[in-house]
Amino acid sequence: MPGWMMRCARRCDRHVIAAEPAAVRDFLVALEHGPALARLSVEERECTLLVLAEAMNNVVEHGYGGSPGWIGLMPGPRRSGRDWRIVDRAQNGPPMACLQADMPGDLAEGGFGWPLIRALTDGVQMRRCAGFNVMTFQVRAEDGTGCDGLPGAKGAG
Amino acid sequence: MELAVRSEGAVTVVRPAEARLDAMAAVMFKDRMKAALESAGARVVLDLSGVGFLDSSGLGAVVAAQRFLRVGQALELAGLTGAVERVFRLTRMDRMFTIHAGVDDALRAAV
Repeated sequence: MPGWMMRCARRCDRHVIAAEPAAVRDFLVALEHGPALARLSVEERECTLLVLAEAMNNVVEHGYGGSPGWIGLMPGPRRSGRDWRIVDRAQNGPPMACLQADMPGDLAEGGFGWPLIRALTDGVQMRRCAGFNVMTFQVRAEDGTGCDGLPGAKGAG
Repeated sequence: MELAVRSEGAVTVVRPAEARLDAMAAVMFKDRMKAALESAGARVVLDLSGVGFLDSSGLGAVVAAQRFLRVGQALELAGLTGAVERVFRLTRMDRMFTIHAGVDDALRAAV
C-alpha cells in the first residue's frame, strides 16, 4: 500500500488484515478493547464497530468475492475514533448507487449493509485511485438522541 | 455457533452460545436454527441477551430463520442488547417480530 494513502495515520494506528471473515472479526474484537475507540461513548463505539464491520464485509464478499486480498484500515485525520479510511485493491469497487440504497422491505434477508452505513455516518466518500478503492467516513457523534438521530437509540450494551 | 436449546413448559428457548452473530457465524446459525425449529414446539423464543454484536449478516440469518417455521409455529425474540436492538430498529425488522425485554417476560406473555 503506498505511503500517501496512509500519511494521516501513525504507523502504529495502521492495520492491514486479510480479506476474510475471521480476520474481520479478530480486528473488530481487538479494536473494541483497544485505545483507538477508548474515548467514545458506548453507543458511539458500538456504531463505529458496526459500520466498520459492514464496510469490511462488503469488501470481503463483493469486492474480492472470495478471492484472496487485503484490507487496510486507519483513522482519519480528525483522530476522533469515529472517522476512518478503508483501502483495498479489489477489482470491483462498490457501485456509487450503493450510497443511495434504501432499507430493504419486510422479510428481506440481505441488503441491509449500505443502508446501515448511511444511517450511522456522515460524509461517506468512495473513490478509486491508482487501482485502490478508498472509502472514508465519519460515524455520527452521540447527540442525546443517538448516533442515528432517532429516539430510543441509547446504547445499553 | 452453538445453540443451547431448552424447554420451558410449552415454550422452546434457543440461546446462541457466542456473543457475536456476524458474517462468520451467520451460516452456521441458520443451519442450527433450522434443526432447532424442526424439533421445537409451537412457540420458540430466541434469547439474544448474550449477543453483544450483530451485523447485517447476522440480522439476515435471524430473519431467514422464519423461513423454517412450520405452519402454526412462531419465532419471538427476547433480551436484545442495545447494539442488537439498534440494528433491528434501524432496519425496521423490529416490526417483523414479537420482541420481549427478557426471556422471563416472554414466558409470562400470553400466547
